[in-house]
Amino acid sequence: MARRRALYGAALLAALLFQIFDVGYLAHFLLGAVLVLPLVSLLLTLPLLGCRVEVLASPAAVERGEPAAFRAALRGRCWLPVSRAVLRLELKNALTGEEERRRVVLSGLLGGEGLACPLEAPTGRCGRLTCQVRRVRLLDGLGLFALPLRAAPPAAMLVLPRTEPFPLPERWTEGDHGGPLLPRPGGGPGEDYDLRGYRPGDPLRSVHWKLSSKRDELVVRETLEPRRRELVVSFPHFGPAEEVERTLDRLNSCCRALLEAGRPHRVRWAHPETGAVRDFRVEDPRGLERCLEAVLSDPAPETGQDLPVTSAAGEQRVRLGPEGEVVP
Amino acid sequence: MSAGKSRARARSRRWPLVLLGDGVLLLLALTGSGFSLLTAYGLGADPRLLLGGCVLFALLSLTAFSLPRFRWAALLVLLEAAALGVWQMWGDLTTGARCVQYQLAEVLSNGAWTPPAEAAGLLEEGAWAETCFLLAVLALLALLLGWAVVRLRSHWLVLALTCPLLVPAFLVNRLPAWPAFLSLLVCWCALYLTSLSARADARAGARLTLAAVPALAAAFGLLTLALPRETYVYPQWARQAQTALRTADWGMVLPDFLPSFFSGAGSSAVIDLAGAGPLRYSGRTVLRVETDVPGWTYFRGRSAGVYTGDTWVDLDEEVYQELGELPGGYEPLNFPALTDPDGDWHAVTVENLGAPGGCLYLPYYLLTDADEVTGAAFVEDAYLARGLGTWRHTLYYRPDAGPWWDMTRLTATVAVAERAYQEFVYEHYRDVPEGFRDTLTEWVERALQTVTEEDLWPDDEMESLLRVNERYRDTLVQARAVRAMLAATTEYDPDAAAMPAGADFVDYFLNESHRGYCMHYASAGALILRAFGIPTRYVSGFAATVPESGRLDITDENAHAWVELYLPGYGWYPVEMTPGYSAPSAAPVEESAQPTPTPGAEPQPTPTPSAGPTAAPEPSTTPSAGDGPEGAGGGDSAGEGADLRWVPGLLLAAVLLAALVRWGVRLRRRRVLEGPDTNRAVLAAYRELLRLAPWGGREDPEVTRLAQKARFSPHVLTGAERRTALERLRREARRTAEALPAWKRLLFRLFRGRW
Repeated sequence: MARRRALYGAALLAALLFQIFDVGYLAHFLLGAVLVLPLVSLLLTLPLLGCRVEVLASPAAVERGEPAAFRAALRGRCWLPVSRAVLRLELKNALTGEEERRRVVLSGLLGGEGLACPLEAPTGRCGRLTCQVRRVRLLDGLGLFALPLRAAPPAAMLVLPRTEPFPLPERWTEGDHGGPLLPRPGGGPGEDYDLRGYRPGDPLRSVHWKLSSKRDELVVRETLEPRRRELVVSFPHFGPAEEVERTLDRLNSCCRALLEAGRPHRVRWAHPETGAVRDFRVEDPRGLERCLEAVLSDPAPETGQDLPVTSAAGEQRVRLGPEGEVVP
Repeated sequence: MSAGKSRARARSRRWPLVLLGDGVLLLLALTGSGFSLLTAYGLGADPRLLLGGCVLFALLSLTAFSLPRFRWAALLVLLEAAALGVWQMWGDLTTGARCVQYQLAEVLSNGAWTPPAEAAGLLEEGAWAETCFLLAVLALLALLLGWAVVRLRSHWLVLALTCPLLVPAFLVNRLPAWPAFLSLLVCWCALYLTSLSARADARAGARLTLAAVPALAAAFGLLTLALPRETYVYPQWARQAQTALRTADWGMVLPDFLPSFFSGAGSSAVIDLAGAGPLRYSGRTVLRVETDVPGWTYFRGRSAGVYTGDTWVDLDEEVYQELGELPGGYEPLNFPALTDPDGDWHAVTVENLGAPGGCLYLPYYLLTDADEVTGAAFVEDAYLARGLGTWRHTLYYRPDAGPWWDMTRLTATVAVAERAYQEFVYEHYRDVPEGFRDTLTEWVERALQTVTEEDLWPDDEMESLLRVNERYRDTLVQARAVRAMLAATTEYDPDAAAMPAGADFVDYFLNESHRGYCMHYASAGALILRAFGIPTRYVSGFAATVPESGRLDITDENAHAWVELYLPGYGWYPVEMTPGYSAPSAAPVEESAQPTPTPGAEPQPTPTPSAGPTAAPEPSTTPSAGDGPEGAGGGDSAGEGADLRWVPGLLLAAVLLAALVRWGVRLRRRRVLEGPDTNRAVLAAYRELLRLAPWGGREDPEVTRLAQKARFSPHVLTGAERRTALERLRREARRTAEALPAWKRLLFRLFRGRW
């Protein structure tokens, strides 16, 4: 638009010189016309100020390397066409920290679906991609005025790690009963039990009558059973980009394999910068999706903080790395 | 499919809305052009037929260029029909062309050229022929405009097709009918205003056109009402700006043609008083004079005898027909020289280097008569018309033939001729507009109260007055008094604004503005002297001091206006009316160490036409003609601003250099990338891709692979592979450019070109 502004400036200068050097009415009128023209152009652009800009991600999640796009659209109800709208968009990958600025020019009729333009998303790296409209300017017909428009909230897209075959070690799926003894839901017979005071709602058949008579208060027998140790999958959320990619591929593959094997588990990592522990329980694909979104939203610098190597009681800890898993 | 092809296909599809939008623009352009031509040049075509023709041609052109197929066939049919029409009406068309040619020549020469006698009948009966000719021109214009509006949607081309028709009229201050001009203006502005939308989508362009046309028409209509033409006065700020611009030393950067383009100082057939705004000159040499008589000299061009309130024009031809040829074939301009039959005669050579008016600029007391003059012809009693193609004339005159006490009375046939002409002069050169005589009388009564006796009869002029023949002394004393009254009541101002439209030029000068320059003083002086009963006329030309060397370049800064009084038994005698007028410095061909003398300062051993006793200007504190804008050319002009004068030039050179660099880059890139050698093209594309890296460009694996193949493989790459590489390169270049901030993108496009 610099060219159009320069052209108008030249026309205005020419009209001004014409008025200065010519005493005739034509010069006077032409100067007035050159000054009035931008007002007319502005007047024809004002009805378009009610338009808004939207950014959509399609699809919302995609595996690394697959094609995907954001869609910037200008919506509104106006009969007049948009001479030119210039959008400044910022694409940011939360995991890698890469930023990219793009400029989109929209021009034409708004119509029912508005004016839209696809934006190829950089899916070469995993991460949570956000596309945010930094600036929207609506230009008038002459290309002189840039009027601001309302911008919509940013759109996000997950570039997921790849899923590879992941053979699960047997010990991760076999019944490992080294876990703590916990009350069995619904009670029933069992070798291990615990005694406790009666709480309203306990079934009468669970009352230990003999002991209750001795203590002169109601005592309840609660059947216990050993529980399986919980599998905790951890990984370093930092390192060189290629290693982080490989680690995330393995995490994704591992979690999906565990879910297929009917093994709920936890995914735990430390925020590389603050050291805050992130802990997600993964019981189904939806839980895995939430977990991956959190994983891909944290930054992955070259170096960072990690979880302690020791595992808590009742947990089976698995640590994934770029080259393989480490079981402490 | 490429974007270009899809755009072309979208453009070729004509929705009804698009047809309507294009049709409106086409009609505006065509009717605007047609009626602007008709009214600006005063053509005699029938307006109703013209309007019908415009509508018909616009429809045909729109239809032909909007056809999705067989467009060229339709155009051929139209052209064939046009050719048939031309063949059938060839006679009318040629007659119409001649009529239009006559009228154009008359308008553009500002009356200096008059059509030959046989043209008068032609013009009276040529309305139909002119209509035919104009319709033929409009038919051709409709085809070109259809191509420009419907197919190319180019506002520049439409401007180039329509504007040149009007530029000549604008240059001679002829405006077309306002609605016609507004139609054109609306069309130009609407095309430019919708160009962004139309480029993206034809329907969008059409919708915006249909909204923009009424909006622009309303805006320009309101503007016309807000700036009424009738009350327009050249604004004060523009006058001040002009003065400031002219006093600055812009000589190195302003093209020379610019001021002269607007100037046109000199003589003309119609003296346009309404447009007499601030004086402006280019400093260009317009006359070159060689004579052996040094001193202050008037070079008269044309004289005018009829005052209309806003113009001075010649007497009607019918009046001259009544006068007929004078006995003996004498010309009135020769009478003064004949009153000094024994005086020395001298030659003067006048070369016209660009002085306007189509007349010969000659000194007073002309001896050369009608039989002796070559390359020129006497036109009535007003001027000597310059022959076409003749630029240099040598004339003879008697510089001592003033109305002095020792002048010889005219005798024999000359006296008879002079008496016949004298009657004519007293009948036609004393007219004052009806009702204006009272205004002048009132003004004289008021003015007489402001002047002293010393102003009216200065001692230094009494001596020269005594040399004048007694018979003419009273007349010249009266002229001197008028000049003194004008000097006492008004102020010389070369920047005087133009008068408001509808006002009387002299009335406005004498009673309202009280500021003016030679045109104002000469006009007012002529009318006041006429009111006294003295035959007077307005004269325009040049006034300058011929140096001792005898060679003088007269610039347009020497343009001047004065009056001529008719002295019975002598002839027309020049009288200066502008107070304090001194000669602007004319540049002699051979430089002289002596400063150019003013008429008042120079002792006149022989009374050259220094306006005699009444015209000798005294030194005055009032600004002289040389103090105006033309004074900017003086020796003190190289001031502080001189160091900055190269800046615009340098900027212009930098812009040109940048454009050249960019053109070179594009040319070289196109030659390599689209050359016959595909391997070389792909390698060049790869190198271009690498050059994008500093700007944020990314390497493309596919282009890299193709470049490696081109470099190391014995195979020749196919055209498809080259297209792939080029397409990827263009995509990456566009992406890189769009990601850059505006200023960086500008640099990118400058150095890496536009993709």
